[in-house]
Amino acid sequence: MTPMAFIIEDDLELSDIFAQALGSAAFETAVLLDGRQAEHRLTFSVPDLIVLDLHLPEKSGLDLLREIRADARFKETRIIVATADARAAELTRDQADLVILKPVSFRQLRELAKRIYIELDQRTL
Amino acid sequence: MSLRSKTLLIISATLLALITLLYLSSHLIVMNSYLSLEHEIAERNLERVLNHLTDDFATLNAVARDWAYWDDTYAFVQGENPEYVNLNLIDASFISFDVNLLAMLDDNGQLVVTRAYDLQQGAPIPWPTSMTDYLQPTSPLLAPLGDGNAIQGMILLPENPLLVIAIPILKSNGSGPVGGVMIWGRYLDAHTHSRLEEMTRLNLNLFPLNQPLDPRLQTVVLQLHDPTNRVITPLDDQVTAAYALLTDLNGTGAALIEVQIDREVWSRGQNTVFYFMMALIAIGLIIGAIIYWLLEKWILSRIACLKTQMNLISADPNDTRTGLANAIEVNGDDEIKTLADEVNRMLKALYQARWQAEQNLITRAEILEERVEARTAELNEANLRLVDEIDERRKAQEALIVARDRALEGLRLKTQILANVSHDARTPLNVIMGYAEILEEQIHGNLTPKQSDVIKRIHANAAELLAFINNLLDSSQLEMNKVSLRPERFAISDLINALMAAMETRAVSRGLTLTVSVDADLPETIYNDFGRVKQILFNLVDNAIKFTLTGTIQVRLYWLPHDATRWAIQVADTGIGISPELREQIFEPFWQVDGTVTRRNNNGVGLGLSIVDQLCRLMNCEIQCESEVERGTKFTILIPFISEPVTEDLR
Repeated sequence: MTPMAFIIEDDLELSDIFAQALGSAAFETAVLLDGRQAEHRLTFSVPDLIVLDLHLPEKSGLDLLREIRADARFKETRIIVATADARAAELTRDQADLVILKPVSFRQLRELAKRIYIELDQRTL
Repeated sequence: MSLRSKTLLIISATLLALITLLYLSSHLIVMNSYLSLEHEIAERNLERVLNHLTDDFATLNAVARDWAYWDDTYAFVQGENPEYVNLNLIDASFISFDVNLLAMLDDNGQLVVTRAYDLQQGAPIPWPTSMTDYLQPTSPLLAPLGDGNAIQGMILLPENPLLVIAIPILKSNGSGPVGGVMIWGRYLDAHTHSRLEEMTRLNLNLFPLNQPLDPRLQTVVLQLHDPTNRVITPLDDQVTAAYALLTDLNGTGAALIEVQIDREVWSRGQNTVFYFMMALIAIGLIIGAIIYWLLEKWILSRIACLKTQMNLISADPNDTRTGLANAIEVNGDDEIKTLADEVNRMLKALYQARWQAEQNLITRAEILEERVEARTAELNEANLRLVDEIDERRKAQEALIVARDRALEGLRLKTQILANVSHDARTPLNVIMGYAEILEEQIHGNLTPKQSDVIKRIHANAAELLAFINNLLDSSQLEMNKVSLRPERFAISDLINALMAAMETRAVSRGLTLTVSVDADLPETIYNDFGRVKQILFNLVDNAIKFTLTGTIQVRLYWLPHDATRWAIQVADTGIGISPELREQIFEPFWQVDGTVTRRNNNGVGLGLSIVDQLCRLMNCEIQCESEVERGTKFTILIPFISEPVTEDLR
């Protein structure tokens, strides 16, 4: 089964690049452009991986992260926080599985996704 | 000791010494003369007694001569006149001649007749045998038989001393031959004694030497070894005694005669001395009292008065009635008066001196007061000036604060703008780089080599631009002190790997060699802010790549050989070098903006070294720079080891 990855990022092009990177790492991807949209989507979908920007319109990534982590449905979900805000990134270290500071390169994200894919693959076996 | 006591003492001592001296000398002189007078009187009385005895002998001698030079006696002793005894040797004869014994011896020395009579009893007594014994043929009393000369003297009989006269019996005309010897004797007995006392009106005592004597008298006897000597010695305070020795016919001592005399003269002398003494003491006391009174009146009381007045002055020198301003009053015209006058002169001088001193003091106080006033006025003036100045300064400070706040606000705004610009610029750059990478990875189809090259150039320049924007952001944040360190334990190998990943391609693409060496003794992991250490290292290497055309860039990490507390990152290049003039500027931000440095194959505004410098300050690191123009530059960053908190360990 193809693993599912949500890319919660308000920049359309950046989210496209992230999606291509994750896609080339064999993830099925969905891009969510604001916090509200993401929240809505998460009520009925449980992804295997979330790439989360912190500065989002409608609802902040920090709030979203807190809610996801408080929800038992997402306990198997990996979360990569990708932000340019180093100070806010510091606050998420306990909750996120990985924190990467922007700029995030295509290759860097692809390598990370590949590693996670292998871990997920091993777990399902 | 007060002067009065001293005076009294001197007077008393003088009088006492004087009286003692006078008493002793008067006693010596007066009593001596009285004593010698007493001696004289005693001696005279003794002589009187002795003269009486001599007179008695003379009387007896005359009577005896009458009887012995008488024919009747002559005839009787020749045995021819038997009636003679009854006619002449009767009691009346004994009484009238005051004799006790009468004896006659013939020319052969044989006793013819002996008669004895007790004058006190008034009756005849038997002839004493002691006398018979004494009348031996060798007896001196028989000497008249031989030479016809009479003998008189004393003999010591056991019962009493006896005054005796032996006289030759001759015819009435005094012709011989000697018919015999007539002996008359008178006892020195109580009768004779009382008669003698009566005649001399003296107390007499006779001590025959054939009887025991008390020791006092024995001493006297010894002193009288020469019969002409006299001994006079007081018996007690009332009586003195004079002694003479009476000798017998042989010239040896027979009896001691003692005459006792009242010591009237001596006691009178005693009295005289006593009264003299009394008078002396009385006079001494009077004179002493007078002397003391006079001294008191003329000297002591005046000195006391002087002292009282001076005490009064010294007690309160400032009192107008009794103080320094007053003079001392003393009567008379002598040294004390002179002393008082001198004291007065001194007081006056003192008073004047003090007055002068007070005047000086007042003057000085006034001067001082004036000075104080002047100084106070000056100070007030200065104070006012100071207040004005402070006011001005305060205003200036306020203006400065406003200016500073504006400047800070400007800086903050600039940083904010920079941050916004950077953020806004980074996102599209990130996008550009991301798409470039996607193309490079040929996900959407293969590229021709030319296309691939173009894409690489786009990516490289975008990366450079991103690095520049990052530096710009970091620089402004460092300037605002907004950067805080986040130390963690990291591996040196991670640092090296990151460096190689980021820089090796760039170096190689410029035809340069990048080498990294790590000294073996350097710890494998280090506790510090990994991101900042990496930033320092990247900036230095980036800088080296920019300014090196050919050659190598050598990176070395090592533990300082002489400083165990620090380790070092060294980046050496073979680049264009830095001239000494430029060395001061290279750590300034934007130092390359003016374009004086040849910008050959690099672009940038010189933020890298400035960030290194600022980070080094933040991390307490030291930067060393060695450079030679056209030969190369060597930067060394000395980084202190940071001790890792214990809680970090536990976690």
